[in-house]
Amino acid sequence: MPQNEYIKESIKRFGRRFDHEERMRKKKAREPKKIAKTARKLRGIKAKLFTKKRYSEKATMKKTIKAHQEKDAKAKDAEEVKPGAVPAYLLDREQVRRTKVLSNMIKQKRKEKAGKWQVPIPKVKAMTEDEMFKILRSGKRKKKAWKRIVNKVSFVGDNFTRKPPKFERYIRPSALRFKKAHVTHPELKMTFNLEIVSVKKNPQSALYTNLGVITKGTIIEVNVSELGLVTQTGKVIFAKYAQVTNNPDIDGCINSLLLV
Amino acid sequence: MRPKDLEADFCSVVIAGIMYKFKEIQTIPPAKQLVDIVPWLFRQGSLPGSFSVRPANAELSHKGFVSAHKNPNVPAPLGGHCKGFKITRIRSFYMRKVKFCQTSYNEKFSKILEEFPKIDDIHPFYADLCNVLYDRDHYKLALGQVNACKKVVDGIAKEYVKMMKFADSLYKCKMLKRAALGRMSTSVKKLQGALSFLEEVRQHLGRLPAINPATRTLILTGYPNVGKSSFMNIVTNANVDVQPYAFTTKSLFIGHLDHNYVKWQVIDTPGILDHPLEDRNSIEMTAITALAHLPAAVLFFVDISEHCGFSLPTQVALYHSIKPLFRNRPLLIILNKTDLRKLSELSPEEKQLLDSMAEAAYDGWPVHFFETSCAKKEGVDAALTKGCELLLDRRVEQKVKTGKADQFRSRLHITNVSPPASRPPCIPNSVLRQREAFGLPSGFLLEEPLERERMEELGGAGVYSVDLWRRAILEDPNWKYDIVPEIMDGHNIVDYVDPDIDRKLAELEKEEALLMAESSLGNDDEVIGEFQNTQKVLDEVHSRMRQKRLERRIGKSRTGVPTPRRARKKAEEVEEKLTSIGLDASKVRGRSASKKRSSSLLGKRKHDAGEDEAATRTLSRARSRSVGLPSEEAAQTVEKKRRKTMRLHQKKGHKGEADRWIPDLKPKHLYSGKVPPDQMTVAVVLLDKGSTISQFTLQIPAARSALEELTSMGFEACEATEALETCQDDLVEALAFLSQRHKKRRVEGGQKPALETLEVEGIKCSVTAEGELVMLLPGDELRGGPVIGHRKADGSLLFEGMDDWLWELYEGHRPREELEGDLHFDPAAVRAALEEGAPYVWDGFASAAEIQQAHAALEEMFQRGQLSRGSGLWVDECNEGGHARNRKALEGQQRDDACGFWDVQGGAPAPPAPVLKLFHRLEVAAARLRSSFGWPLLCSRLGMAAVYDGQGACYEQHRDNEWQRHLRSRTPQGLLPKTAAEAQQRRLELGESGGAPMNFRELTMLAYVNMPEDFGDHAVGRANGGRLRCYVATKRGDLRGDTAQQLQDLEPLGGRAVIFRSKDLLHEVLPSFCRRYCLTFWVCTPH
Amino acid sequence: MPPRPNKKRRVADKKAAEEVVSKKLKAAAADALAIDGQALVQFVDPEGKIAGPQLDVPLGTSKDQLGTLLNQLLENSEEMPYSFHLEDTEITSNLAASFGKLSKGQQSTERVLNITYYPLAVFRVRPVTRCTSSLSGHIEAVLCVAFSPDSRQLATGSGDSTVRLWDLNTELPKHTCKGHLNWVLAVAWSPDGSRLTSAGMDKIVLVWCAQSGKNLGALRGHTQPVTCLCWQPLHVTEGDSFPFLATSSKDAAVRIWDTTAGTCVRSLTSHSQPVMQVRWSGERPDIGGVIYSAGRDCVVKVWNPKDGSMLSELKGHGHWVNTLALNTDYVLRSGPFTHEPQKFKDLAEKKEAAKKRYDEAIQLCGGERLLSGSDDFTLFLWRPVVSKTAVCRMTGHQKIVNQVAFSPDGRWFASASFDKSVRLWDGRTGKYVHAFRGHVGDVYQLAWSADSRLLVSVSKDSTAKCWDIGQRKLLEDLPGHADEVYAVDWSLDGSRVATGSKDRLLKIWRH
Repeated sequence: MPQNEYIKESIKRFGRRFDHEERMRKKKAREPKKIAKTARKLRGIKAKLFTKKRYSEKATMKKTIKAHQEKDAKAKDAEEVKPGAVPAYLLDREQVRRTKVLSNMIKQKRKEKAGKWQVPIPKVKAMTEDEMFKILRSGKRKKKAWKRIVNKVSFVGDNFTRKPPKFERYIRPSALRFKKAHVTHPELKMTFNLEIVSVKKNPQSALYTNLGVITKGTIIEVNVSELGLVTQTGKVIFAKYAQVTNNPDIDGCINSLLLV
Repeated sequence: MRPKDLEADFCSVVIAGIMYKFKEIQTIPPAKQLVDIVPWLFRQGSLPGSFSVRPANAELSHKGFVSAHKNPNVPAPLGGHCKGFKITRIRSFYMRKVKFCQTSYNEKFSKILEEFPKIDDIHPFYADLCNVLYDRDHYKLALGQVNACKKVVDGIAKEYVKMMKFADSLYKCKMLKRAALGRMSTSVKKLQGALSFLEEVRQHLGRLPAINPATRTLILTGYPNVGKSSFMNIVTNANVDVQPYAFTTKSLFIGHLDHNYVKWQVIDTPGILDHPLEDRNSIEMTAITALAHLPAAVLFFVDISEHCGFSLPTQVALYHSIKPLFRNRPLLIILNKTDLRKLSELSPEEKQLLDSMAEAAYDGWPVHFFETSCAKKEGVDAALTKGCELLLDRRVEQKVKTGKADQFRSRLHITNVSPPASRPPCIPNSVLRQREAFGLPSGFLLEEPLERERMEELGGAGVYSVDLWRRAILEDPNWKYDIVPEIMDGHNIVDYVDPDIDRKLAELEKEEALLMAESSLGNDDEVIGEFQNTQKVLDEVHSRMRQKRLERRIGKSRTGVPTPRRARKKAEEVEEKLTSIGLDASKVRGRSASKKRSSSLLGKRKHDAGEDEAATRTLSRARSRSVGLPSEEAAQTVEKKRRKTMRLHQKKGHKGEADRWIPDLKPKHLYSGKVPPDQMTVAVVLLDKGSTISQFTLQIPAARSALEELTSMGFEACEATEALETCQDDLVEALAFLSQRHKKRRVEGGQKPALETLEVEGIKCSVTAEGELVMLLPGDELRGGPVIGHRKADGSLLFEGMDDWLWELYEGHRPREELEGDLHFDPAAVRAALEEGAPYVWDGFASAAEIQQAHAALEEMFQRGQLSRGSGLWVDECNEGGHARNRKALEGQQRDDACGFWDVQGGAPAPPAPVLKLFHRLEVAAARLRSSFGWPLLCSRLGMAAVYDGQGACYEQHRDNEWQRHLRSRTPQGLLPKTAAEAQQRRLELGESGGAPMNFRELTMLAYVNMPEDFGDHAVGRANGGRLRCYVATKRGDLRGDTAQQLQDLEPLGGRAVIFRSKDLLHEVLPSFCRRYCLTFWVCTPH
Repeated sequence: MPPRPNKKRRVADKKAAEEVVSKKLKAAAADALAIDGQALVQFVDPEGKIAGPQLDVPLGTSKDQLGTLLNQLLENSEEMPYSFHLEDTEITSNLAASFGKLSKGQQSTERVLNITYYPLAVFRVRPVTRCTSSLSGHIEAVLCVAFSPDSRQLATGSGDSTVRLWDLNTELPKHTCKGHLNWVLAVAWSPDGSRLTSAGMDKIVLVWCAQSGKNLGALRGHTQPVTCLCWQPLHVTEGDSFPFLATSSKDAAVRIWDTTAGTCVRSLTSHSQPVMQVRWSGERPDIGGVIYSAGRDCVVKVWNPKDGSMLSELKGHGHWVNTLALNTDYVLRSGPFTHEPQKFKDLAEKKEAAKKRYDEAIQLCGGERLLSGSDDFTLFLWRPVVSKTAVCRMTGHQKIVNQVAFSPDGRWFASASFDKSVRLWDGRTGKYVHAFRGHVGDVYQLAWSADSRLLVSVSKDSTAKCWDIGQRKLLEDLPGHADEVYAVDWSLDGSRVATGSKDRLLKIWRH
């Protein structure tokens, strides 16, 4: 009965069929043609997936070939003088790209003093009123239209309770309330999922800021305690600002960039 | 009731209980595919549809809808309609999509989760097996990950569906859906590792032997290679791989056998070594698990012959160490391989060891010993039956104990039947009487040999053919084998068989006799005579008539319409037509031509001339491929076809037409016949203690002197003279003497005397006994040169072609002695220097004047631009990558010199006279070395001159004859070492790594042609650098000189020559800041 | 005071100084009378040797009075400057002030107060204040700067893969040495000042003639960029041979070269990571000095250059070791040359002089110490010859330590770190003394003045800053570079400071 490595076993005992090698070779030779054929045939998503696959394969192939060549070639020709010379003690150290040292730093300082931030997304497209809020008609005959639904992602602090319906003007649906945001640290080049502490500023309007609505370009304060960042004096930084870089209500998640 | 029955149906019950469907687990797609599969699913439109899906789907996904919004940021018109679709509907559509995706992932994962066996639930045997094979933690982890991912996907779906409720435009819904799907697939992609692992597990599980842990089982165990598997193969028909090495069986194997009418499974386990449990490897652990968990009879194998490589004590030790596993299992100890060593042959202490095993048995379970021999199939059955019985009894007993048996008992009805009456066989009285006649006992039956036995004695099956007529009863037994056709002339013979034909014949004869009596005439010769005459006449007449008829037929005018004169073709036309279709037209012409020839002498002459040029034409055509082909394209097609057919040959390395092969190496007509008169033949037979070592004949021109002769035969002058004076100038004696020496040398170097010369592509070479085609070197017939081909299986020769190095060697010639002036040169010193791998510095190699001339010459050439890169004479070695065989070596070598080659043997391009002189001096030096030490040195034809321009040109460390790992040695087999010691020695000098020197250069000779004021050991000189740095005695392969034992810097002084071994010496030319000339000359040696 | 070739000026200056001193003495005497109280003092030299008898001096005694006192005790022919420490507080104004600083337990006039005196350099280097010339010529960042031991020449290596020699008298380019194929990361002068070696990314070490700027040969062998060069001290070279060169490379090997023959003498390989620093100490002349090497594998290794064996491993750092420094660096580097210009006949004589100077230095700073700074923000002070364990581990920096340097008299050492601070530590005990803040960017390099009274540091913030060790403050801010300053060196006679920057300029600063 077939058990364990029975295939290998049988090959070992009885060998392969006499023209196995030949057929394999032919098959291999036929492979490109086959691929080309499928490539021609496929349409739509399949085609997309297929081409993607092919592309990656080719890329790897190229890489390997390159690697081999490098292996064969001597180091001599590999060398060419690169610009941006650094002294020995700065070799292999992560350099932050700056053109001018001084001017930049001073500017940055001034900005900080002025409380402005040099942010990744300086300006965002303005939203129309009716895009911001959806009117919710109320009253017995639904003729009152003073209630608004915020159909954007929003942040409400903990121990938030809704006002009684009579006074609740702006309804922030619980489905659209977010507690956490993906924060990318630009220098570490890593992303963390951090708690939102508060919404600092929403570029759209002050109202949004108050409501804690999060749209693209909003500046939020996130809890970075587990990143273990420290000040120059060695204190652990608790919260930092970050700017939202995507449309949360479209992507269903908040991506943001830490401001450092 | 018989225990067996009880056993049987009991098992059937149990087996129904446990069934593992390891084979049924479905394949698990790798994460990447899984990600693609799911969206693909609902592109198939297989969205779950409790309510009208398809129409909605159709409408939605039709173009007008999807591109409803030009600007997606503008929300849907109030009331959430867009293009006539309620936003609610759109939402539900996209929600459905998300949900569907989630469910389909969910299904996939849950399927995986349920299908894979839960390690805690399955039978402990399988549980442990899994643990051993796949590491239960890893396994559980993988499943856990899958489960987690499932949850995550569900979570995502839930979240996004929730958010979609508040999406107010198609665009938003769509993007949300997109995000949702995206996040799901990312989370799935993270499963990559787990899934692939599970897939592997699945495949392996599927192949596990279907062991039923509950049924009757025999387990074979013991040390590796003690014959468990072969036992298995004998008793069951599972044919397990049996090999004469340990751990052939790497996992459990199961075989089945029927023993008294019930099925048994035999489990072959991999061998176990005797060491503590923790450091057993997984292979052994499988065996252990089997032993631990399966309630079975254990057959412990002991190889008493100790051929398994483990001594008896160790095996017994193993037994004792794993004994706990045998507790209350029936245990048999199989003493195997008794065919190699009988139990009786064991020494008493070994016997005692075995007994110790017996004592060690657990209470109430005696150990049974069996001597078996799987090779001879002895004692196997006994062991088997015993084992089965023991187990059976045990099981039954257990069942009785546990009371399981009662239920069967209640079902059984036992009748009591009276014992059957005795019915002896009845023998007819005749037989009995016969027996009495023979005086045999009454019980005895006369039996004749069976057909089978006959077969055996008459040569066994295949040879023996059954004799059907053996028992035929005929009057005359000789008739038995007469051939009687059934049908004759289409008549069935049987119809014509007449029982009383004899009687009739008798009657007829009698009658005839009567007739003869009454008719008086005795004989009838004359009657016959005249009859014959008439017959003769008639024959003649008939032949005449036939003749006439023939003549008439021939005489008749030709049939069909006659072709008119105009329609007839001229011979020429016919000819060219034929040639145009590519047929041979000569035939047609032939007759007419011969007719024409008789016409006139002039014509004949013309014709002859024509014929000649025709001949030449055909000749020239015969070269080209398009012989007898009408047109170029026809030629091409043919060529194509040819290529196609050749392809196979080329691929498989078959012999094709293109291969050069010499069908008959020694054609008789060449090797037989007389020797030209001006030579005398000497047959030399070398005897060594009476046995012939080698014999060969020499043709010696009578004129030449013995010494010349010997030297020309490749013996060194020194040897030759010595030999001659030892044996008083007798050539043959001398030869014998020399050959003796050569024989000695063969023991060292292993050479063959006298190889037959043959010529391949104009290269003199020869075939050694090992079937190698070796090159023969000028004046060196006695030694085979490097291998340049080999003899194929079909006896033909394959010539591998020459590369530049081989040419260098082949064109090499024996260094010439003649010299004007003397050279201050001491061979012994050179030898000494070379032995310790150091260069020999030969100062005063040339006088200042000579150097000055040479330098002037070179300088002049340089000024003329002949000594710089790019001039016709000069080869830029490093840039063109060097020769085929040393490309690797030259690549990347940093060398800035321009080097070029002269033919120093008077060919072109020839160096200027003063330079040539220097080269010759080097050659003479080589000659001295050769004749004084008998080194087989050959001077190469080319001499090199290297120019280092003054701009700091240098040449980094290198050897002239670098050892190349990728090369194959070209030394002929004959010269390879015979004894192990030599091989060792050789390995020592060659280093463990394979490979070969990239060329045949033995010595490199440098001669510096520089003015004394340029270089030298003074300020200017040092500043000008250009020194030759020698790394003395470096290790092979070290190209940086780290392993150098000492460094030696040589100033490139004019009139200084340097000689060193090309193979050994790593050297470097330091940057020179003044133009620096160096003549280089290589001396090669075949091996 | 910086050396001037003409003698007259020197004499004049000396007179002036004496006047100043006498004035100060008078003043001190005045306020000494103000403070009453006596104290038993005992002068002790850094090694704890007692100088002279115990003295009963008024608490009001000023620093300078102590100086004169000590000079008399030691019978110095001419007035030598000293700095005094009461216990471990430096006596800045007068005895009373620092007496006040003492802890209560020690504040009794009964017990003898040990006053440790540290000899100071007899000459003063004037702080650099202005940029005398900014020399362009390099077409890529200037990566390394080195003054020749005799302070007549200056060599710079640059990213444009050239080495340039500058004449200091005219402050003009002298030679351009082409030959490298890639960035030049390090240049080093032979201690006798006759040769210059340079190395860099192209793995080869080139030897140049200091006078002609001609290439004397290439040392090939390293398979990775060469990171650091260090010459064998003159006085440990055996016979009349020219000192060897030690190079560290990213191929994790240290190689010793004979630059005359152009051969690799030894290859020391047991580092597992790139070697970033190598130092050749003057101790153990019997084996031709000791080589210290450190790099990315966090250990400092001690080598025997004679047979290439490893003597010991100094473990302790938790991350890359960036820098090594010996308290004899200055004397080893300057070889025979002092701050005054001299002439030597030949190598032997130079060796003689070097030996003399080295011995003086050693007995001045009491034994050779090795200092290592690392990416783990700490420094270690070792006495490798004495023990494998560190003398002490110095923490305090908040970012990686990029360079450390001993003061020429070995009394202090300073560490430059990327946390924008330069810290000053005690050269013997490794006690933390002071942190110089003021740079707004990573501090890259340091250089001490010959008299150990001044310190110059260069930083990423494109400035160089000159610090006063005496009163622990910023003396001069030297802006002027347009971009990061990569390299700095203070000429051995103290007259000039040279800085090389990313803006491709070489600036020379003087008083």
